[in-house]
Amino acid sequence: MRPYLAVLKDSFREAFASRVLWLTLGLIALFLFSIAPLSLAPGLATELESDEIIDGYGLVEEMMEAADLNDPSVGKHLWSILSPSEQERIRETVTGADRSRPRRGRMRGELNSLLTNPQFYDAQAWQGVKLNDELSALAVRADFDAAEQAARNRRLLAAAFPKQIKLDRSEVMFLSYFSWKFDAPIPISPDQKIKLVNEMVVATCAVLLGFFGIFISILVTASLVPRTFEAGEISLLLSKPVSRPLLFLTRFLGGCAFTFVNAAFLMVGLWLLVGLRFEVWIPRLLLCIPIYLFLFMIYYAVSATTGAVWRNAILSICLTLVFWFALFLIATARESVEQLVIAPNRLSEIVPIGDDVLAVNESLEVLHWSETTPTGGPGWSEVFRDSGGGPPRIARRFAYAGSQFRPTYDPIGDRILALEALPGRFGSRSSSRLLMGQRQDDWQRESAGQAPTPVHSLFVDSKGRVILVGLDHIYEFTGQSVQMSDAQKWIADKLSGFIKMGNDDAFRELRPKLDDWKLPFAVDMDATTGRLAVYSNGNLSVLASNEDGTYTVVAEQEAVGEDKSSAVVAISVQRVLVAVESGEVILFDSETLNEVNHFQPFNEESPNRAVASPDGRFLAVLGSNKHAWLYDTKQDRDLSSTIPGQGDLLALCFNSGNELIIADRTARVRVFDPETMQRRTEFAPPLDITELTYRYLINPVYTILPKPAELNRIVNYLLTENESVIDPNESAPRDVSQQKKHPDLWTPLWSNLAFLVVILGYACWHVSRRDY
Amino acid sequence: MSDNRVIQIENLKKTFREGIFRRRQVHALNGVSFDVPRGSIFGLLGPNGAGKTTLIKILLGIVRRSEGDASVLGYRAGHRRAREHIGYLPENHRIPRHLTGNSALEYYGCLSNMSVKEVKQRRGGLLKTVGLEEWGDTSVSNYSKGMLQRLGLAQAMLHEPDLIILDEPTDGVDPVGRAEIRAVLKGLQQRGTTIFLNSHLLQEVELTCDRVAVLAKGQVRAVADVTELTKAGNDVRMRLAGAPEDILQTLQNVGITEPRIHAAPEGIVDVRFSTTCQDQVNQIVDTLRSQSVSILSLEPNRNSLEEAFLALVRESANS
Repeated sequence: MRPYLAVLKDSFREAFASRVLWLTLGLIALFLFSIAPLSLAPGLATELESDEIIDGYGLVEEMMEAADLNDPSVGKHLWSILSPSEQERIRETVTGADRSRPRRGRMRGELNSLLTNPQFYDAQAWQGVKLNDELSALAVRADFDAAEQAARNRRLLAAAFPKQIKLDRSEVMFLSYFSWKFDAPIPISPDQKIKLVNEMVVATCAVLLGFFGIFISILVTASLVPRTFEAGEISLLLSKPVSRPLLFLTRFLGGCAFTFVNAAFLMVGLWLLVGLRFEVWIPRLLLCIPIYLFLFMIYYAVSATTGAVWRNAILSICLTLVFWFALFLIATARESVEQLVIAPNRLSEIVPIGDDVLAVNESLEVLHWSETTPTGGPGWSEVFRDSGGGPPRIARRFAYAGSQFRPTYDPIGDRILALEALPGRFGSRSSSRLLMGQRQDDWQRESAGQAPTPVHSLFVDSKGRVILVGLDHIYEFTGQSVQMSDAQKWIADKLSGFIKMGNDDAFRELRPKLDDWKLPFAVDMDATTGRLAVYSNGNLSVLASNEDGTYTVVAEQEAVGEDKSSAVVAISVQRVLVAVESGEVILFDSETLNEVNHFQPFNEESPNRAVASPDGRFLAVLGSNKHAWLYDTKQDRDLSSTIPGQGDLLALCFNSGNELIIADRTARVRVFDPETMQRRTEFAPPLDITELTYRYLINPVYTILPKPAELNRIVNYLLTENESVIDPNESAPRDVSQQKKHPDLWTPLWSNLAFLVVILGYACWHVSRRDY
Repeated sequence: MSDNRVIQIENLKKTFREGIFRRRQVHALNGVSFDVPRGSIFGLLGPNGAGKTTLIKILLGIVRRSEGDASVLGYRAGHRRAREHIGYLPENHRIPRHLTGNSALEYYGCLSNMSVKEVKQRRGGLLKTVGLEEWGDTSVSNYSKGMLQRLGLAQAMLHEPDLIILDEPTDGVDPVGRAEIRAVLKGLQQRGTTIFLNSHLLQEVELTCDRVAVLAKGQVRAVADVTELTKAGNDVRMRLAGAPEDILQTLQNVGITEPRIHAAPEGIVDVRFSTTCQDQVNQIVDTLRSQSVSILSLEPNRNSLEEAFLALVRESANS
């Protein structure tokens, strides 16, 4: 052991003898000293932020309308204190057709400048506005400075226009450097300070350590191993009783010592600084030291191995940089092909239509299997196309990120039905539009109507009734009662998100508005009995249809799963299945909702989808790990192991013949007998050249190579703690609640560790066999 | 160790392969065999490219042998246990420039499994022995080549090894330093240490070594004691003071047919002749003395090591 400690000690000695080390440490100290005067202090919120303006256009429209009335009102007063030019500018902003983000930003600016107007408050105008005691007292105060006055006016405006303005915070944070305070506030409340500081630290770490730190360390340590293996030095070292591989590995570790010293100095300094200056102590920041050291080790392994083989420091640096660039290039190529070619074509839903199948991909295109496609062979061709165009195909997946599009087939009407969420003003969700496409019209998409309130799920029961379920209501779509002209249809298409265009009488309310359903929320219908299973914020209920078609609760079960987590639900004749976020699957009797069984098929993986076969015999759950769980209620048997392609599954469902339909990564759909898992049918489009390249070249190379960039994501996760990290390769969450996706911390570590072991193993083998 | 041989080499071969695509074989050692007795100072001689350094590196495990056997201190050549008892000074060695004399000895001492305490106890005296007692705290980047050689020798002696292998130890060292190093080596020999010396300086080898091996073209041309190697057949050399004619006559009278006589100034005459009979020599001495010729010296004639070495190398070149 003593000889290796001597080599390690010598590496430290060499590092400390290096001028570059002291220069780097000096620069780090300089950086820490330079940011030490930074501080965050709370201050009054004097401006409206964009997320606080729910309906800015409505507010201004109300002011403009009030200006023409005789009665005193806040709107009339505010309009009156504006100069004619300001009025003209606001009028132009509101009446223009362009409601894009820059224009909305301009309007926010106008509203904020209004807050600074000294004549903002007028007792007579605010007479009809209900103010709390504190605000009433503030309203009449005169000894204000400009900031206090703007803060008060902001609150007065929100009180006067509660539907249009919703204040999130009374205080914001101001960044200051020594005694110099930045004018622009950071739009976060003091309780969000920790999050802000964490994100600042993450950014600092990524740039300083993840890039510059690694780069400088590679430059400085590149000569350590080549120099050790130079003819004059290695002969002397190998004459001592030391093992060659251990000598190499010790030298390698010695090189890592340099980075460790720098990383530790920076991170401990940053940790102390952030703790002392911002009063945010982040112990996990210290965990970044080993993580960044590990990141460096991956690159340094390449440098050291090159040094041991060729004994040339310049070559070591060059090859390490080439390796770095190659990793970046492969990751970028993979990500680009994945995002632009593979993912948009990846199936996310399957809808059985008789013996046939419809599929939905992540671009939200509805696909129908065709034996002859425009390219010649069999494949998927798009049906139920959005005639409005929408965003270009390449951007569709990003534009619709997080959206659900789950068509349903109505066998009686031989039509496809689907719900489309309509965006409201300022991005809120206002309502849902029912879309419909008949087979006889080649599944051409048409708008059937707009639900009065947002709905999440759409079902067709055995009688052919179209049932829409939302958090507030259950509706039955009774058909288009109002015949709209082409012009009306055009307006409804274009403006339905902003202007109420719903034909309410086409939607019959089957359950009056109640407040007892909350997110997280999931619902499923047993098509045979028409009963609904509803999971709402940890509570499970079954609703049965009355003779008049309305729904009433027939069974309830409270505290299902843990911590009111999000869940997916499926109902069959005998059973209700609830799969909760922790991966637990619970079976209930559908009549009494008594728990009859529970399983843990997914190891901490959240479920994406639960389905039940129409005859109620089979239940299936698809996990976010792309594994499926299949259960035979008749034989009380888990059939998961019989499902082929586990780990690659993207969607599943049962058709009317109780067959299991599975879609996998290659846009292939296969139909199985769930009891024997005999394949009945397969819809497999041929892979094109891009997909072949991705599948057999880019992806294997990416799999083999280390993934150091993944370590940055781990740092991000560690420092932002509860922040979910959305995997860009994953499809949008299938559950109605926004699922948190925890990053896989271990896979990148194992993958990088495997690379490290292989490359260092090769270097050890090389040095042990070489003649020096 | 089973016997009195510190190094045993038997039919040792080493073939290097050069080139990336058309690999050419170079036979650096081609069946080398010899032994090194314990307590000796053994010299390894040979022209450039003879395979001397390769042989040393095989003994230390720095280069792997292709064929044959070699053992050092009873262990297979290159064995870690053997290396614990070997001190090595390589040719053109490089001591890291960030070290001082003291820290270099600490580094190499610890590499030889010594504790820091042991190193500290020994290094003062050792630096004094090699003439660097005032340079211990100086960075080796400020050392001259001769000083680096002295420091290299010190690190080879630091852990008191049983065998010291020195590759060109006096390279870059001034004549005074060489004499000091010779004295150090002699001292080590007296303490029982075996020294294996590779040097181009034949005079140094002649002055220092008891026994030598001559390598040429990867083969052993001779292994012998230095005295044996430098012995030049049956020649006798006399230095006389007298008349050259009388001396020549005397030699011819006793049957020396082709004496070589060289008359030097001041009446000194150098004479060489061959004889296998001691009676003949006695008769010559008696006759010369009776003729009042003074015998200044009489000795068997010897070659210098250089002459012997060159003869062997030329012979190898012609074979």
